[in-house]
Amino acid sequence: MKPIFGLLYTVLLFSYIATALFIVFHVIRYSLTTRTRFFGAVLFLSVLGVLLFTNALLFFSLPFDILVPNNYSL
Amino acid sequence: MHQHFEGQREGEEVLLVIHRHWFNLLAHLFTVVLLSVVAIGSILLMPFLFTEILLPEHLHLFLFLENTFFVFLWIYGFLVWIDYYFDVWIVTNERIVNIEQKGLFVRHISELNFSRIQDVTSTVEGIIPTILNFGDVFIQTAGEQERFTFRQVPDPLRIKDTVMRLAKGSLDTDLRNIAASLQSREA
Repeated sequence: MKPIFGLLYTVLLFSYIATALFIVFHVIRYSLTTRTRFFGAVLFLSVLGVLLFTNALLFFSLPFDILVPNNYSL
Repeated sequence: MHQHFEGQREGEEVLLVIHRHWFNLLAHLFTVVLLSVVAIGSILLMPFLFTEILLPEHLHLFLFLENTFFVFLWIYGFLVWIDYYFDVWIVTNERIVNIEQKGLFVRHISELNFSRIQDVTSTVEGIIPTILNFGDVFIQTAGEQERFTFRQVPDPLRIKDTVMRLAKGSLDTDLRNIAASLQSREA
């Protein structure tokens, strides 16, 4: 089961990262002032970085053996 | 503050940058704020309501789900902000540029020269728009696109006056140029 959850989590993580890249692209390319460009990108990336880092740490600390008993094999 | 937009001509000066009224952003961000309150409230209340959440294996799962939800909210909040902030009307000394942003992948840019403006109307409708002074400005034009609209903008009357003044200035300049060219031909 763990590889399946790992795969699903990877898909989720990549979709978050892809959306984040598009957001940063918009902020940097289309902002009307340098200040908005800089602060928008820094604020978004710093908070998202912390959230994604803790998200990954929490995911890898999940006790899959306890949460999903291995009664059946896939 | 120096403002520059994509497609700005050389010597073109930005006079006004108009975003939709902040109330419009607030209405869209309300969902994000509400969901954030629910998420924070659940972190504080769930351990009291369901004590088994405090078991290490459940606690990790609960925190992981909460964190994933916060990542989603942060990204969604920024998408809402992008939709608001990049939906903009720019009034320059030469023209009006309307940049319409819908989500991440739809971006319409249209422009209108002052010489094509025939009539400008502003409307404020409703209780909240009247209190907060925001509404629509409609510009009647002579071209294919008959109506150019500023939607839910702050102080629509001031914007209408500014556009009318610039349109009149442009018309005066055009008339002066025509008169000058006629005089030079006669001479």
